[in-house]
Amino acid sequence: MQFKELNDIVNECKRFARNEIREQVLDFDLNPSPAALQGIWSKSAQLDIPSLLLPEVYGGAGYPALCCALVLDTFASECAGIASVFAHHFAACMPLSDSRPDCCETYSTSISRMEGYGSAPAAVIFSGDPGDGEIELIEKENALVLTGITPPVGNTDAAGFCCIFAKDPIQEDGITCLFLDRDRIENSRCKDIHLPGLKINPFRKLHFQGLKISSTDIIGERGKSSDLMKKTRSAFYGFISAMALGSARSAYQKALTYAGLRYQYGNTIIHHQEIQRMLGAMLMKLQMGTSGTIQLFSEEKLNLPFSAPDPMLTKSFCTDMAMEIVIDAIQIHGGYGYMHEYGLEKIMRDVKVLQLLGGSNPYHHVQVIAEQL
Amino acid sequence: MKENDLKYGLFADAPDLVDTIPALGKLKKAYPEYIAKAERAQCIARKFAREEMLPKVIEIDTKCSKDPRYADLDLWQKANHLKLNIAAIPVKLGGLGWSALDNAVLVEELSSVCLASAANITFNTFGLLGALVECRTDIVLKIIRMMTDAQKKGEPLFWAWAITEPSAGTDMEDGEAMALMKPSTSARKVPGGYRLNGTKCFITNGSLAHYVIATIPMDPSHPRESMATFFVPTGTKGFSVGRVERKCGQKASQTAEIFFDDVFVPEENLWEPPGRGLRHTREILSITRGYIGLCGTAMARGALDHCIRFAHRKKIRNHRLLDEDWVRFAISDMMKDIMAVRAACYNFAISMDTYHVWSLFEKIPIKASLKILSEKLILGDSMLNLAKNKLISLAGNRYKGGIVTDKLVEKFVTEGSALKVSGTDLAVRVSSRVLDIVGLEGMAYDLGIEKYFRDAKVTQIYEGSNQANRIDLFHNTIGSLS
Ligand SMILES: Cc1cc2nc3c(=O)[nH]c(=O)nc-3n(C[C@H](O)[C@H](O)[C@H](O)COP(=O)(O)OP(=O)(O)OC[C@H]3O[C@@H](n4cnc5c(N)ncnc54)[C@H](O)[C@@H]3O)c2cc1C
Repeated sequence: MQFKELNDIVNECKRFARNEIREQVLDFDLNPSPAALQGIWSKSAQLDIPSLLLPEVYGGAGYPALCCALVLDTFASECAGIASVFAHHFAACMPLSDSRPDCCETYSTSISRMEGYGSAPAAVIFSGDPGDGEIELIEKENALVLTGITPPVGNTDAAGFCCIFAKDPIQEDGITCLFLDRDRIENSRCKDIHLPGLKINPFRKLHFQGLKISSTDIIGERGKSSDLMKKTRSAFYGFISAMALGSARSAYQKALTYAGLRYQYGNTIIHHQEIQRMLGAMLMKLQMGTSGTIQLFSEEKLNLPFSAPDPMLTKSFCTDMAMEIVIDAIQIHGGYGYMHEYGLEKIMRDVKVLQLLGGSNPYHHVQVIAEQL
Repeated sequence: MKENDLKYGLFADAPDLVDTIPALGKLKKAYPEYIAKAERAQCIARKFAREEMLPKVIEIDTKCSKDPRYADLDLWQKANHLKLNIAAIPVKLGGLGWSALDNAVLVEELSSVCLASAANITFNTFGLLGALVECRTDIVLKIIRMMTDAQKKGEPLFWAWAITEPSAGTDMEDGEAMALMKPSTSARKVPGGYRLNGTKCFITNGSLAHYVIATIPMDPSHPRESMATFFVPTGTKGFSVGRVERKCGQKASQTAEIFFDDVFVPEENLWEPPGRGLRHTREILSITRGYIGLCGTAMARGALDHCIRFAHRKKIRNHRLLDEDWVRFAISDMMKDIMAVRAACYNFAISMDTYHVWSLFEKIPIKASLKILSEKLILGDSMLNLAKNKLISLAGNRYKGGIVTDKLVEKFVTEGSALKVSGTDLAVRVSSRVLDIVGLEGMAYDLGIEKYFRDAKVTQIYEGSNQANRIDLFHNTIGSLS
């Protein structure tokens, strides 16, 4: 993909986010409404955003995951909650290009035409997210059924369909990838847990109590999707990183602007060294996070020792640094930063959820080493 | 093990003051009643926090999220019944006679459950603090009488302390900054008193207050030299309340914009004359900053408390989350910081009893009057009239001035600033870190863990931003060496 093409898309998305999202952000936070979300979703289809990742042969745009990440970054700089809806959707679409052609065609076409279950954002569930419940396929009375409780997941309310990676005892460490449409998960939803952030995207656990699974639900081969899960999850971590960057960049920009306007001690506060230090440290984190995330998605990997970033660690770094940035951005705004109408405290709450999406950061650090053993 | 056997923080058996801060054992030997009283205070405060506050705070937070003007008076009434909102007033005059140490215990226990509800109950002492800072006999007696009367009748009585202006927060708390500020309020002399004009913002209880203590300059082109302190009944013509802010947290405590439109203040309600307003502010800060540090530490304790209980309940891979090594290390790490800052905060409270305004209660003239005179007589009209006598009124002020000197005030600003920054940074760090342990599931609104994080952030901002506190800390120590 050409740089110019990528740049054009990002600019289109920036305009879209400014025109369609910016004005409503505070309202999305206070009165999250499924109708408002659906409105944004439908409009985004005019830019082909829902089908960005899907193969061109089935009406998709055929763009790489990097493009999705950049789109998420621009969306998150206006509203991480909206961005998170797209992030779950993009991740749920990832496995399609590796799935059975008939399955890929059905789902891709319905998404690119915004028809049926393709007319709403999709959800994605990874079995055994660190520290949380596992979902499993088991044989029961000659049928294959899905059981278990998922961790809290996004997009479950709106979801047109759900991509699920379930444990499958058919073989050791077996993972099977399932695509289930809206009606099938209808009765599995637990109550909205009301997270402090990303409010436009309510999170719930899904409780599967022996949901019958047929062979057409399974994409790919039974028990052989663990690489696909790894790939999808890695992309999802990258998407979370991108959203953290967008959120943090927005907080940084607000702080930079405010510091140039606010007077204390007879001068704008940007002239005080401590404020300069805070802003400089914010910029440092943003720059490092951005280059790490871009590298994560770049197709040409540098072949130097320690050069390839780990997706989980990138997510951990980017979300943690985003939190530090937002906390300081609020601090620079003084009392105003704590008030809802300035939009900064909302970013802080959003970023707190991003930090925990897909598992907790300190545990990622444990995991990345433990997995090498 | 049952969850209730996890006896940490709020769920530990009270009193555990000496057990958790062993150095107090030495004090207990020398002054048994001083420590025994603090232990009794801890029993009362912990019981109130656990049994009255804990079951209600999420419900209150929900209502205030919907409507920032919602005021929960139920908890306040319960605290009022126990006199927790007038705890510092001497027993003889109708209060609980709680020392600075006893009040620290109260602040810690209540804030460990909910910063906002704790503020509603304990910030009520602002009126008393303001009066004690003045220490003019007529003011002190008047305020104490108002507070105890209201307590007896069960009528809410709120105070607000109005310093911050839309264009000046830090500028209102530091002399160097104040000299350069552009005030949005002003006062002018008129026959019999003063007229106040302008806007103050972010005022805690501004929307509920019956009285406001406001710091306003007489000459906006020379704010520092002309800053004065006024005592304003909010029923006065020209006083009005603007927006009640929608905030990230601390929701049950209202924060409001207030307007002065040619508000008349009689001469007697000029608490500090022009040029002395900043000194009044600094003295209040010399008391409150240390306590805000303790609020922060208490919130960290409360958040950790919830986290430990969640990690005990939550099963992963066939064991408790609490059994994960990384979780244990993280908990210990947070505990060690809480232990260190908490001990330092109690050190501050005890120093407050030893040297600051609370030490007045130990001085012979005050002790003797409280002993000899009856409550009726002290708070009666004739005493109040006598106290209004200029000479007598000023004698109290002078007497106190000899004890709480400018130097002492700045010493406590220094100590308080260090604790304020330590405690509130800790609150933000710990309340965020516990969420990393409990995960998305533990962040569910109903569990009340995420609320600590939303509440904590404000403590780094008010009572002087943590940068302003660092400026004071350096200025008053290393900075003043040269
Ligand atoms: C919930 C809440 C309740 C409050 N209650 C009250 C109340 O009851 N009464 C009252 O009077 N006020 C109250 N306040 C206001 C509070 O005291 C102020 O917000 C605080 O003093 C900071 O002032 P500011 O918001 O104007 O920030 P500013 O003073 O404008 O500061 C902006 C930023 O610049 C930084 N800064 C300023 N100067 C320097 C410097 N020289 N070097 C480095 N950094 C600098 C500050 O640290 C801050 O980060 C409340 C605020 C809140 C949020």
